[in-house]
Amino acid sequence: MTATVQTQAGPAPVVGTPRRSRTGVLAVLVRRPSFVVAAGFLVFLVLVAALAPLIAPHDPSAQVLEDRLKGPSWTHLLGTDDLGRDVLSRLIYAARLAILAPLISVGVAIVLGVPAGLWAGMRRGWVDAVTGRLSDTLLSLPGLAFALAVVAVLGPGLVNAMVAMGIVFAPSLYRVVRGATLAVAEESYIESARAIGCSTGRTVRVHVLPNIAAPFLVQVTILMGVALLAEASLSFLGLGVQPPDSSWGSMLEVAYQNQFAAPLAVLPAGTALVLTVLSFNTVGDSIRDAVARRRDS
Amino acid sequence: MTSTEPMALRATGLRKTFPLKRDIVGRVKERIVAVDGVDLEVARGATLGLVGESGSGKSTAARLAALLVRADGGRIEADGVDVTGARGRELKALRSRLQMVFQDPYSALDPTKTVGHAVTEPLVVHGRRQGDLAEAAAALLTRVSLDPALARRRPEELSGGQRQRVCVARALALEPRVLIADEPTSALDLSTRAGILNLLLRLQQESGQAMILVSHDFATVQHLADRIAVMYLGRVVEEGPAAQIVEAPSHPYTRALLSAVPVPDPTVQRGRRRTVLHGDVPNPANPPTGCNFRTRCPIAVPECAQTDPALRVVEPGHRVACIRVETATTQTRS
Amino acid sequence: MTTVETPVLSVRGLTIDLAGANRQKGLVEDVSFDVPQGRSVALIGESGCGKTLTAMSILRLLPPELRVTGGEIRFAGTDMLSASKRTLRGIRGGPVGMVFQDPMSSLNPTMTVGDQIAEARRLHLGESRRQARVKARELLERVGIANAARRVDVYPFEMSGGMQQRVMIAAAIACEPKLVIADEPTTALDVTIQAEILELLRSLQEQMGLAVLLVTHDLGVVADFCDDVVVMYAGHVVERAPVEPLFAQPQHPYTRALLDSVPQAGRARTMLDVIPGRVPPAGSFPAGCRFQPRCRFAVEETCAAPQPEFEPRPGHQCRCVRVGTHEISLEKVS
Repeated sequence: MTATVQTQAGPAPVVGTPRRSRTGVLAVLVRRPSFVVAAGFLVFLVLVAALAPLIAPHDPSAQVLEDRLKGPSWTHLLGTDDLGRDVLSRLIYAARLAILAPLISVGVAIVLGVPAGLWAGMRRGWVDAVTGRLSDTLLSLPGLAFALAVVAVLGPGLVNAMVAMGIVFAPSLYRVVRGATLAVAEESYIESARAIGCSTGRTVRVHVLPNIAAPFLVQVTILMGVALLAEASLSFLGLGVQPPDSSWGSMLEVAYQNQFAAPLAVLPAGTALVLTVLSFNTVGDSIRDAVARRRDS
Repeated sequence: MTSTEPMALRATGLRKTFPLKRDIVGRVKERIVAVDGVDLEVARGATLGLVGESGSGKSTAARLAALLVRADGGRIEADGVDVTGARGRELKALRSRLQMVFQDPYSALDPTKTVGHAVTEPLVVHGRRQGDLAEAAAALLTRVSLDPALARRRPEELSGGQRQRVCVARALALEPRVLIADEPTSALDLSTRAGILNLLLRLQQESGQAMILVSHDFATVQHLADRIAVMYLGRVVEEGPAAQIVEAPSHPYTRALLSAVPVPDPTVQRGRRRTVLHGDVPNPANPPTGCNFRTRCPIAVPECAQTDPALRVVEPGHRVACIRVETATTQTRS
Repeated sequence: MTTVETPVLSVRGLTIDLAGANRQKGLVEDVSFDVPQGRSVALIGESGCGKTLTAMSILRLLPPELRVTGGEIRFAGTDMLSASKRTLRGIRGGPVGMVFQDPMSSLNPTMTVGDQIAEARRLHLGESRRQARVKARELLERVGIANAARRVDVYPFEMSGGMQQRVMIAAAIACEPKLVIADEPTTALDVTIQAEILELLRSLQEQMGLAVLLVTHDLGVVADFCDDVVVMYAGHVVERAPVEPLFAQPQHPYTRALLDSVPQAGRARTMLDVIPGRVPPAGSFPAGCRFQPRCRFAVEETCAAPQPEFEPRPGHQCRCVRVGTHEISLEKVS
């Protein structure tokens, strides 16, 4: 299971591959308005990010110093920032980072946490003990502080910061995967898979992964939201994304710096952040509820 | 009892212990002996019933025989070939000879897979997919009297009885020579059980499979078994032809067990002499010395604590592990 | 059996509906039966037949979404369905004791065994802690637990399943009840322990003149223990009779089919009579007789109409028009 940092998010279980475990759940999900709205928003965000060059009204880095810190107008729907750049265009382009950054950190968390969690859940024994202790240690570290330390060592930058967050997230994902795998490993169908001659690899691939998909996905969506907020925080502090790139976090920092001149300037980036994190969480909650409801019915 | 054909499955001296307590470093301090020197054998086309209550070790013994759990001691032969330490590819090849039907149809099937996938997976794993998997699935489902159209369904859409049939079909996919059924009807409704029992009987008659039927339900076992082995706390206490065991049990535990199984016929049931056991069920981690039944046995004597009773022949093909049986034969017939 | 005494429990026309999102009417429909003083009555049926719902409704222990929408339940003259909460509390655990299926989850793991038994006496009879504790010890002895003086202070997890069930029984009889409702009290136990528990219940019944309502799916237990039998299927009572006539000459096709499908001695290795189809799920009960899709005597017109209760033989009721009007006979020709 590999994750390339730049573009696609991690291994198969996260993105796209239709898992049969979700088709039944999917049917329940699409009937929930909250899920539809939240998922729709995320899809919309992805589209915005992908089509940014086509839909952004201005060049996001074009500085027009005469028009600094202007409020909303017909040419600049959300106003301009302290260098006269169009806020709306910057918001649109920053959407790319809003997707990329969480993907990087969650991708790192998956690479670190999922195989370890699967192994610990299936095999237990000393591996479980070792990874467990490791994960407990990592969990006891305050996340942002750790990320700051890593960035201090490696230097600022989005990728470094996100990889650091990924390491911070890995234990929680490990625990979820381990717990779900432990529960599944007790089921008779796992023993049955062994009885017909499945190798451990096949058993995990075919029988364990689809059955832990739900708790895994719930955790992933939560982590995406947290990662986005972490990125925003780090960029706000100047340790994440570096100029000339900008993310919503760095836009917030700019708005904060100029809060007396333009008190409403925090709204665009802030609202975008809130909506996106809310969407991630809502999707996660919906999946959790849908799975629970199916189990009960 | 000599026959020219080797037993479909023959296990001798099976032993399995599980760790109970570990010390701080992880070394095992206390063990529980789940299976303690058990012999099992079943001939082609015959059924061995393995009976016992909870803690008897019968499920573990069945899993040892099915090569699902590695035995700590003993020897296993399939069709006369020693398969005891089989691993890797050899073990995988053996899987097609020994198959198991699991106890709980509600958890024995992967909820994320269709019925068709469940019954054909063995074929896929062993590279035996010739032609259309869908056809293979249909054939297997028909064999267990299920509508082939069910192949597209998920387990949650099926009833308990149907799921159990799917489990049987899955076990049959590789055409095993020995089928081990662990409590195949315990999780099912009364009116569904008969169907599964009939199915197992018919399949055996059609294909000449050997079958080991594990159950705590004596009625189920005596219905299908040619021979019965009774287990108590990890040991076989009595084994022999089913009819003899049922009509004239020799071991005091077998007697108590049979007398405890209520017969669904009030006139008969209320006229029976009952042997009710007394005394606490021993802790499996710390069984009594000597005969492990002696703490509840109505005919125990001090000598019972001194030796582990070996299985001795009472009649041809009928063995009992009790030092008092020879003399107590008149007393044990009720 | 004296017919003059009023039955200790009388259920008439009980109907239970499921409210809420998955509304279902008639989960239990028009159930009527009596439990005479000092006698044991079995409520037998498979899963989904409504026997547990019926038993729970007697003490109004149903969850809020399950509502009694019709009928009458009288315990010793008290109308249970309209009784106040206070009256109910006074009855539960006092004049009516209850024994549940799984002692492990029905006993409070944080209270000692003695305290749990004593609780009923303190609540209903106002005894002091010390008095109740003495009584608890006596009760433990009465239910056959050795070392009662010491065991009064142990916690449930320190006991085996059989012993825990004895504790449940002790708690149920603590206040000298007139009626004990036992919901599958031995299902989770080994068969030898089951025999002991049934033996205990029988002796208590004789000593105390207890009436017992035993909910079970096990025909053997019924044959062993009960005086009268009420057979339920899919929410209906289909047959009521004393135990011996029920088994000897069942008057409902379901009972007949059930008895024929159970493995018994003497029929080993034969095909059992299978009841085709399966128990209808709660939402899709057929109109009229709920067994008709599976009944080999079913005739469209007669069976789709509501089936009143007939008495084809004295003291033996059945809810089948065809049998009741002697249109068909279930006598076995053998």
